[in-house]
Amino acid sequence: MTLTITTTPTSDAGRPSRTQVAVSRAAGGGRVSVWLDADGPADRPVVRPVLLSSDEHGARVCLVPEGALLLAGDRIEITISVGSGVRLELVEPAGTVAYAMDGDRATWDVAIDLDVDAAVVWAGEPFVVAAGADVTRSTTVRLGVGARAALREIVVLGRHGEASGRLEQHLTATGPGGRPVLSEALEVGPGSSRLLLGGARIVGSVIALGATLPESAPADGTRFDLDEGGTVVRALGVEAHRATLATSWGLAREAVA
Amino acid sequence: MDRPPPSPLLLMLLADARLPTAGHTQSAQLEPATVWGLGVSEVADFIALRLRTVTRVEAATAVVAMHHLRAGLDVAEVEAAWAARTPSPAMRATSRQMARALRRLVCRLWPESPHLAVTGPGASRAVVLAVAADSAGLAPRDLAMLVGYDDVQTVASAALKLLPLDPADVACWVLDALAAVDALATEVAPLTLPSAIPAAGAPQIEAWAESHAVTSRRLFNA
Repeated sequence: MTLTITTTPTSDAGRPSRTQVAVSRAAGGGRVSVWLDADGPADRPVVRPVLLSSDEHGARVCLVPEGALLLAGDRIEITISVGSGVRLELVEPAGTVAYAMDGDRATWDVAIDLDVDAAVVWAGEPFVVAAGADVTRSTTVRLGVGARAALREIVVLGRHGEASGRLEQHLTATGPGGRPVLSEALEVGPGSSRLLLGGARIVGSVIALGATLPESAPADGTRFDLDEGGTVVRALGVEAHRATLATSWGLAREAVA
Repeated sequence: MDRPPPSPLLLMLLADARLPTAGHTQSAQLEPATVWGLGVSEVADFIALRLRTVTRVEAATAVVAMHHLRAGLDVAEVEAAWAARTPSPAMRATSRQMARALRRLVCRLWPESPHLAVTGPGASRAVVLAVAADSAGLAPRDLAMLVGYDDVQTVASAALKLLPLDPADVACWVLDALAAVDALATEVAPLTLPSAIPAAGAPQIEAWAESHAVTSRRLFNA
């Protein structure tokens, strides 16, 4: 096993806080190689990747926030790279709250690059957009031939009994050759139409890419099968536990295994 | 050959709901929305939301498709970009079904169009509208206005069948929505790249499209 963890605190403010996770087959066989890195301005939080386990097939990594997240001016960049035939599982120890930003904003950008036959499973915990927060999130997934991804996303608009902050998020997934698979944008905020989310304050999504959920899957949300393969299951809820899509998430994990 | 009709007249022709393109079978998801509980006071909001999201995607797709047709580029890339931005299989199926009816009409109106061959039976409505608009000599902005206006009128006329409304009130909503149609057209008219097509989703409208596709009790096809 190769494991590298580096930290490079610097003071040049304005840089984003960068997190990198890269796993690949080890040249001589055996456990996969794992490269983990977190780096950012000294006065900003970082998301630190922590290795939980690894074997010859893949690794499990926990993304641990260090410092208060997510505040005005924070710029989080997370880059995930999974080598050919390797499986990466990402977990989060807790949800994230984007707090009031007093007119400023924060960004949260994720790029996932999956080589041939690579797989990623990322069980996202709730992302809460508190009143006064202004957040732009982007997720870009590039799938090589035979690559699969299972992503869970739970967006909560406002803490309990609170109005929503402003959220703009983009998800773009492309297949081999850059062919578009899924491209979705959602803009929601305090002035949004009730009809956008049907009055819900929680948007739960299970996204399977490069793999389609079984036909007989029970519907804990609305199911959307994509033209290029892959399934999105979405639940719009008022209570968090009603939008976690436990059944669909289990099936998505199996589908990409 | 006679001079072709001026494009404003052809735009009126294409925007006319009396064309045999099965427009009366569509509610643009207003029917499942009313089943859910959308009230009379929310129809104008529904129209505005569509113009910012799903209809914006369709209008931009049509504009980019017409650019591809006129520039001799592969329209399949535009179809793929549209499909990736239309996660609801019910909405994709409806679009393709509407496209088939429209394509039959375009084959009769403009049989000489060189683009009929490259848009097969699986084409989306936006792409077939682009073929029609190209034959009619429309500008990209006209085509975007056509898509926006048609969506507003689809919701408005369906509203009269679904909700107790005064037709004149509904006409007022259409008039009020024209500024948003104009703004949409201005935004998307310059687009040429499939990747530049906006991806604005409307999760509840997409969910309504799916639930409506499997219900047996409905006035409208979609």
